[in-house]
Amino acid sequence: MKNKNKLGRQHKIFFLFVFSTLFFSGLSFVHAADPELVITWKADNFYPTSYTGKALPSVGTKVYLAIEAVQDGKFLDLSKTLIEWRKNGERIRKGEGQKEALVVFNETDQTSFVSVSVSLGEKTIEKNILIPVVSPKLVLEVPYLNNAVPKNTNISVLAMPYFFNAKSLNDFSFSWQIGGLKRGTGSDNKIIINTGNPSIAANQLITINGYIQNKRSLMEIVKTQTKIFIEE
Amino acid sequence: MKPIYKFFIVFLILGIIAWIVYFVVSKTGITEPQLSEENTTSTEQINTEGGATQKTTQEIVEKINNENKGTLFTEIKKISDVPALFYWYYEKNNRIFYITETGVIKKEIDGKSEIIQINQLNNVSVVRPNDDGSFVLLKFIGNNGMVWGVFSSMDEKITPLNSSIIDAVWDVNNQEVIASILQSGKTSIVSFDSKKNYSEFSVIIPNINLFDVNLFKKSNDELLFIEKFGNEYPTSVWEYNLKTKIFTTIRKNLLDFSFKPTLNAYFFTSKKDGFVIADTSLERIMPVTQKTFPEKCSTIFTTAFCFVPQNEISLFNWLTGSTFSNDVLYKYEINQQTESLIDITNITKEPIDANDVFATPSSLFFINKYNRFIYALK
Repeated sequence: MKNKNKLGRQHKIFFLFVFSTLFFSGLSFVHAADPELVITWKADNFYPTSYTGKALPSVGTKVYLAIEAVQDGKFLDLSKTLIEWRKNGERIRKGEGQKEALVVFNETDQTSFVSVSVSLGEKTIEKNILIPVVSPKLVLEVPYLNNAVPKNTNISVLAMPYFFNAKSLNDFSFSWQIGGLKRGTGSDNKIIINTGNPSIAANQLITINGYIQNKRSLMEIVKTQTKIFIEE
Repeated sequence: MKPIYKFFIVFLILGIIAWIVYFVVSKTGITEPQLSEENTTSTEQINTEGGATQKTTQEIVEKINNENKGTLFTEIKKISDVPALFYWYYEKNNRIFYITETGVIKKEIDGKSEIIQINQLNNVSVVRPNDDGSFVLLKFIGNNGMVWGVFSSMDEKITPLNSSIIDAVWDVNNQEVIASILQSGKTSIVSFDSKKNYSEFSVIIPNINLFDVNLFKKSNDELLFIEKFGNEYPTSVWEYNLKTKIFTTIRKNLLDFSFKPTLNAYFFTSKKDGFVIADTSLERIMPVTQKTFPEKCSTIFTTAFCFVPQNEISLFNWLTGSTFSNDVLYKYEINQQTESLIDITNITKEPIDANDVFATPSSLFFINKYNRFIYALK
């Protein structure tokens, strides 16, 4: 009788142990979410200091990438973790703790995908992002509503480069064509147009072409056109 | 039924209940900071964020409300004597300081501009005043490259900051500086102590790699990382809780996202949400019918003012100066949930494309992008 009770108690303890083990291991399996990979990047090219947005890379721009892995809100220590970076499927960096990478997109790149895979134990987590590669842009700032400018006024037009592979405004050469006539070439990105000039009649459209060349990268030549309307 | 089975069933039921409780509690614990419904309490919260200026809040709100019954503004005044890159309002002296296109710092006194006697600053790209404008974070190019400094509006002097700073913002106490710094190839978030003249810092988040993000200290414990707006590039907003050390994604896949926090409300815009006046959880706190950019808005207590473009314009084209806007002015009473057009056509002769808008109890300051002069509606 005593032995029977003892056996029953042993059964209970055994079941309790087995069930608890299964229960809590299942619990931790259900609860532990997969790590989330956070990829951020910055493009190292030129844009005016007044621009508060993100620099977008053009062909040839150095793009610096960084990764963090977050699990249940906590940053994971990736210093001993194998990290592999790929650009359009081609490996660019692989190694333990390689949380940063550098990519440059070329003319020959058909797409601009970057992927990173992180080996966490037996699991490998991967994330892909598409980095928008844009053409360098020249903006002609005509500070008049609807580009309608009054007659007999000196108007100032500013040429502002965006996303060229340059370091400062000194790296650019600007030239202009106003109403078909060539105007100065040089490093000044501003031009004054006198709408009182006899060759500029009222109620007509004048075409302004702005040209920019990046002296650091001679292939980066951009032309932008705008039109102004001369009011009475 | 054998006792062993009864025991087994009871234990199973208890286990399931425990699991449900555990799951629900842990889930709530993580998401609480981002999902808490603060719409109903936002007004109260907004009212208490005014800090030192709170004592006069009620009087000024009443004054504004009374003024709003008639014509709110009666004149427009040109504040700067030359085009300005940036400006700030120094509350103590009720004075505007500004930085010219040539990097000269000036202040406006009784309608006249005076030059501050410090060296010209080259390529000033960031100007971040604290809430009362007494101290201002500046980023410019010095002899040895990029420099961060703190300008004192009282002493009119600049204190240079640590050369390893990448980005810097004010802490909620308006004294300490929260910065991301790069040292030995590692980026960390640190706090510079104002009492030690910003020469010493303590690390608050070690070794964190997030590129091209703006920092914003939302509260004592909450630090936001806001990915910069990229034309058609989806951006994210993350929050790091300094107390719990939990990092959460607040928003993601935001297109054309722009954000401006003020003491009394947050403004943001995104392709999906449109223009939103929000609380500190980025939840909409009042309906708006107009579409504008956060940069064109400001608040004074529970009143928000927003310049609103009358022409269709994209954020990217506006930020780059490809297109200029033609603005009208709207007023939003957050407590009353009202939106109204303020007629300023009789006092403004020139078109307005407002940027860097700042409201005080007596004036609404802005830079008109057409000529880059600072104006005040009074």
